[in-house]
Amino acid sequence: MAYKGYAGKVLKVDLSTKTYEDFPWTDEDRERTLGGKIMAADIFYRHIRPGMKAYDEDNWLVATTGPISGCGCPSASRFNISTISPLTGIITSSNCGGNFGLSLKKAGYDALIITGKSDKPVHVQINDDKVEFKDASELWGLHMTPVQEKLPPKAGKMVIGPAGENKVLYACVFSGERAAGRGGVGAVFGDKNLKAVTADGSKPVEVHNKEKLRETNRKWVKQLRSHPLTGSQLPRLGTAGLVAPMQARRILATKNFAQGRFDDFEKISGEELTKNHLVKNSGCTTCVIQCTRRVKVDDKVVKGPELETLGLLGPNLLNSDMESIIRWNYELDELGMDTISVAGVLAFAMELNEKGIWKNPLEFGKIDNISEIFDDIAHRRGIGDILADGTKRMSQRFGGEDFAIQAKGMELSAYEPRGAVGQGLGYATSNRGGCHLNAGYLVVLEGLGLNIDPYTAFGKAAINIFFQNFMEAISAAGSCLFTSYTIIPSPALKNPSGLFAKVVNVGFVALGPVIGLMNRFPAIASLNLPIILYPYAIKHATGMKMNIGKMMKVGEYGYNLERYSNIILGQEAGADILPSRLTDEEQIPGNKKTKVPLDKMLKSYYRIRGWENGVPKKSKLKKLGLI
Amino acid sequence: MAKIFLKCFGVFGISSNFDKGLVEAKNIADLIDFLNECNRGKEKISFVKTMVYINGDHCNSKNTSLKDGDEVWLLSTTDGEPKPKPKSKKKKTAKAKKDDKKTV
Repeated sequence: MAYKGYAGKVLKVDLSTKTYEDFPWTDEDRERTLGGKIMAADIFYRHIRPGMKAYDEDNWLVATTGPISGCGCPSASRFNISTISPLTGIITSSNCGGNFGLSLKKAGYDALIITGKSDKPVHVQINDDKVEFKDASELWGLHMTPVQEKLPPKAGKMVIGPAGENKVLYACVFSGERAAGRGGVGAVFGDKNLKAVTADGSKPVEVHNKEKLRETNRKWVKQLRSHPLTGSQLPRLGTAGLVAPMQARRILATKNFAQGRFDDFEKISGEELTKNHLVKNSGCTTCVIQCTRRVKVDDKVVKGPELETLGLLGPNLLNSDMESIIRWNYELDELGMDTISVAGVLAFAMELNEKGIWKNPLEFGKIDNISEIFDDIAHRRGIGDILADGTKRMSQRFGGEDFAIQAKGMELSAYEPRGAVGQGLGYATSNRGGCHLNAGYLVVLEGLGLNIDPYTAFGKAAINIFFQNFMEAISAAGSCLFTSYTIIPSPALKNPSGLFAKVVNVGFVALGPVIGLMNRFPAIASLNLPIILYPYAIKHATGMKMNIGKMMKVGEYGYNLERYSNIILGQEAGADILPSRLTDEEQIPGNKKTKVPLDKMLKSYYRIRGWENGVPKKSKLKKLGLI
Repeated sequence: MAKIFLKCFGVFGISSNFDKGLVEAKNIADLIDFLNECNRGKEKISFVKTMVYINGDHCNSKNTSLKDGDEVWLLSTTDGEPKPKPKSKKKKTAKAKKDDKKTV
């Protein structure tokens, strides 16, 4: 292996035969994919077949790390798990800030592939070159905290809770307190009878140029600490600090996305959380941003709710009780379920009940029965068995497709896209479904950081693609996506009503066609800028030549790869849609701008991407070397 | 003068000595003066450092008049800490600039 920064090997484990082997991975593969989710997508692509399903024995779980993880880079300890999602039927890549990835690297592996199914509950233990398949019968049934307490304390861990064991379609995997939350990765673990994976080792990660990397890391830490978002807002308010600007911009999903504002928003705001509930902040391993809130539940200090959880278990259910959301967040973490999907499911069920379509005990604003419902979902009891299958399947059973707030089967996160139409485009085109991050997270520019025109379709396709591709590469490197906030100029954030901000806001949209060109021809951006430190970190960690254009190219490859893999798995053309509540109903009655002009934006999007109705054209696939 | 209800959000909302309450002011500029008075010794805010909403509508000008019963939301990333004066910088030599470039 010519490159440093990587551990150098990929481990493949077969739960059916209880055997393991090395999986080949070359320097050419590293150059093409970097690592992380793109590496996982590439591994998957060589393996999938048409019609493959989430619970097939040969559906793989692929956990991958990035080349700058374990190299001292700030906020760069994230790892990824990819698999065929039982919720959507297509590839899901779920990112996690827990310490499993770092531990896997120390054990000597950049990635772990799990195939097969165990005949009984199993815990896979990786310790340097030794892999053991331990009986996990005594761990089965345990919640997230107690199961991790029973595992080797110094090891990095991936575990599931009761929700994963019972194959709730949006069950997640936990590593420490962090979740690989979306897409039902936990259910695939459960289907394989895989309760836990631990990794530990003693192998150091070598880097290419220690001195230059140290200097880059020093600058990076300084940059993150001095930026208004990563150095002030996120550490002091957490992601919860977005509630107030979302309210102001009508982006706060309320009553199952019927509205974009909630009268009692202050009661569930970041300011309320900080002033009256925060014990201290914390963060993922190696993170200097420290956006996590720590709060009290029953005298225990636990991880507090993020913005998505606050928004979707708050205004989206017409709930203004912060204490309940804090408790529910903890309960859902312990049971091992995606808070975003659970909340979306509850909101949909509430509206079905309100409309008399499906009689059930859930009502907007009623909170006394929610904890019980969570437990029922995790154990697939009573109506929990219906709710456990997600919003799309519920709408296929009961009706209400127009207000089943999901994309490709996965529930949307808390940003109401009729207040930020670019985000709506992102939701529709996101490869894994209703994800704000895989969408390109354009809402940060449309009112939560910058304030570009949130209602115009102009330029949004190009900007979306740029961020979708670039964020793929950032994630592939192993970095937290919040580090990308530093691309937003500080003066525009510190002086949002000043002239500079206004020029940036207008200019960003006006530059849409130029950004579109960069997307189609990433070589235009074959340069480095001192404010974008990823290429420097990758170069000094690995020895790989890197610049912004190359990162965009890797990201473009990854995004198309996942999309094409989804097509092979059975995703049809025309799958990039949103429920008609968001595309046909005006958020503000009488204001035509307040619905997502999806068809209009998709035309530009597909043209720039080189796709036809959501399917990469042959010319595109050939250009990327996929056929 | 109008009696309005002012609410402050963002990092400013948790660092300001005044975060919400009834205030008498004739326009937004007045409100900002009021807040700076409340936060003496801390970093001053100005209209350009904020996003202001009156009754849910975005406000473009600090001279926008207020009326009785208005609710004003003020969002700002200003963290309220007084900033140290920048040290005077010596001009870097050409060699020092070149060395800086080499490290990245």
